[in-house]
Amino acid sequence: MTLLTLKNLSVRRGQCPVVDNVSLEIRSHELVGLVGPNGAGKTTLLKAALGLIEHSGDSSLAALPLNERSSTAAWMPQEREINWPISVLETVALGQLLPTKNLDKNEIINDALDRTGLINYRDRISTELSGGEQARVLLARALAQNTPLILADEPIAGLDPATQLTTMKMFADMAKEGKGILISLHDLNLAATFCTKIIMLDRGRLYAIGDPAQTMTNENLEKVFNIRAYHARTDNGIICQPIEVLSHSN
Amino acid sequence: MNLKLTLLILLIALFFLSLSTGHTKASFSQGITALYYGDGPLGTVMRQIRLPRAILAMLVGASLGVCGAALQGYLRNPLAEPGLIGVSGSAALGAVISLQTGFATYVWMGLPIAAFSFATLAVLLLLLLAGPRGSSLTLILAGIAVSALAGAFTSLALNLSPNPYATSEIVFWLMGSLADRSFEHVWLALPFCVIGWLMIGSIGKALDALTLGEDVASSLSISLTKTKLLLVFGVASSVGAATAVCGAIGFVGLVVPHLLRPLVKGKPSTLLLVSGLGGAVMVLAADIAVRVILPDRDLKLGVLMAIIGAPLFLHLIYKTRSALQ
Repeated sequence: MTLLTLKNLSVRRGQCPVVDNVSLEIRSHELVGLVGPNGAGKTTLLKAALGLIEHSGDSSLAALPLNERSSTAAWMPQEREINWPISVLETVALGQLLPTKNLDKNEIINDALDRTGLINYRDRISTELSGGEQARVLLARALAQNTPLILADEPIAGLDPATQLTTMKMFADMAKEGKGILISLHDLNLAATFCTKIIMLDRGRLYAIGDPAQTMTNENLEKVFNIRAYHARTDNGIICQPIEVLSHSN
Repeated sequence: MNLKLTLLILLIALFFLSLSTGHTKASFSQGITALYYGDGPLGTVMRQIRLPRAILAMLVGASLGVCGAALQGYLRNPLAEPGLIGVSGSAALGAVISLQTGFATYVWMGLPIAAFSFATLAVLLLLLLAGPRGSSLTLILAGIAVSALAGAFTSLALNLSPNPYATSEIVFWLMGSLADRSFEHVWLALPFCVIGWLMIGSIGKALDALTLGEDVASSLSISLTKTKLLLVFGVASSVGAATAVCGAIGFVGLVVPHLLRPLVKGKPSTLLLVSGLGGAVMVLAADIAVRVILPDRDLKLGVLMAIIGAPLFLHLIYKTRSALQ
């Protein structure tokens, strides 16, 4: 089932295109990794898809009436913003601000806490937690929205290796259960290992799209990131470890 | 729940205390009896002087408390207060102009009407400057600009004042007081205060969602434009009306939500009602204090509020600072 369709989506900042004519689809059962160097337009693409910023072209999500957005897609921005000293439980419960119809609100919230390993943090104050723990709280908040589609901007940035792995594993499991998940990330190795599909952005344009083995080739990495990577295939998936910056710039 | 109940009991107790405080000496029971049945001078004092005064104190305090909590929630800034978006300053300017031009003397309820009109005008100017879709930061900046403009014109009015009597009248009015108010003031302020509270009450969920920032709130189906319009018009309506009848009273909208936030665990929507009750308690208590401390000198409520509020605020800042270190 298609959950998100972008058609010729463009965002301009002045004369300069930040996102340039991007068309793609996100379906259920997909964990899609959005990769690209700094300034490639990853965040802008996600925000435009959500209808948070002005854009041209179509996004099926931005076209929805406002009251249907909260039940269609959950959004986890890169800025980890929790402004008031409220408990973890209350923070996560904001995901059910507009409760999912016909379902038990508390069950959904508890499931989100459980998946992110925060059950024992329920009564802690969110703003007193470490940055990594806050990221998990905000992730749980997004899960608690119980939407078929989740968009997250660098959800694993700044997390320790174990938490990065468990978070990616959790995303992969949720995709297997039928959700569609679109995340931006800089860790090419985790993207190659866990994502079912990679979207590679280069200066606002869609450079490559497809499964990790097709897209994370040295040829593409060289062109887009100006790097070369070590590739290997293991039981857990593909390894794509950047090892070298190329001297010439493109 | 307990906190709301405590504040409510405190409010009722202070309300009756306020009714039995004043020049005319009468026992508590005499006063209350006179309030219901008295035809003599005590009945007049109770019904036409003390009762409207106590009701106005609650209206003004609740408005400042609710608006302070709402603005802090919306701007996600614990230092925000109703004065910040220029509503109080502009209402004061309206009052000053009406005193200056004689509008206050010759037109029935001229002063509060002028003050309220200017508060509304300020909001329109504010929205023109910040735009209905602008972010919260633009709103603060536009608010500061509107406040500065209102302050400048207030100074100009004082500067060009025709005689010292007019100047002193304006200066005293600006200090903020609830003395010598009547039921006419109550009827003027009440509807606007209540409309403002209802508008602000309707954005509770939006304020909660804004805890996680504007983008997340928007993805939670919250209309930021609608939220901002309800907030700004709600504040203008209730604080504009409050300032119109009793002058500018500072610090209530700043300190009350700040003091009560830790007790309600911070969620912006739950703070609204509690902060409204807290504001009413604070202003009612301060209005009793001005009559007890200097019974013969007409100590201004706004002055006392600032004397109590500023050190309290400094203390809060000091506490927050050490918590951050």
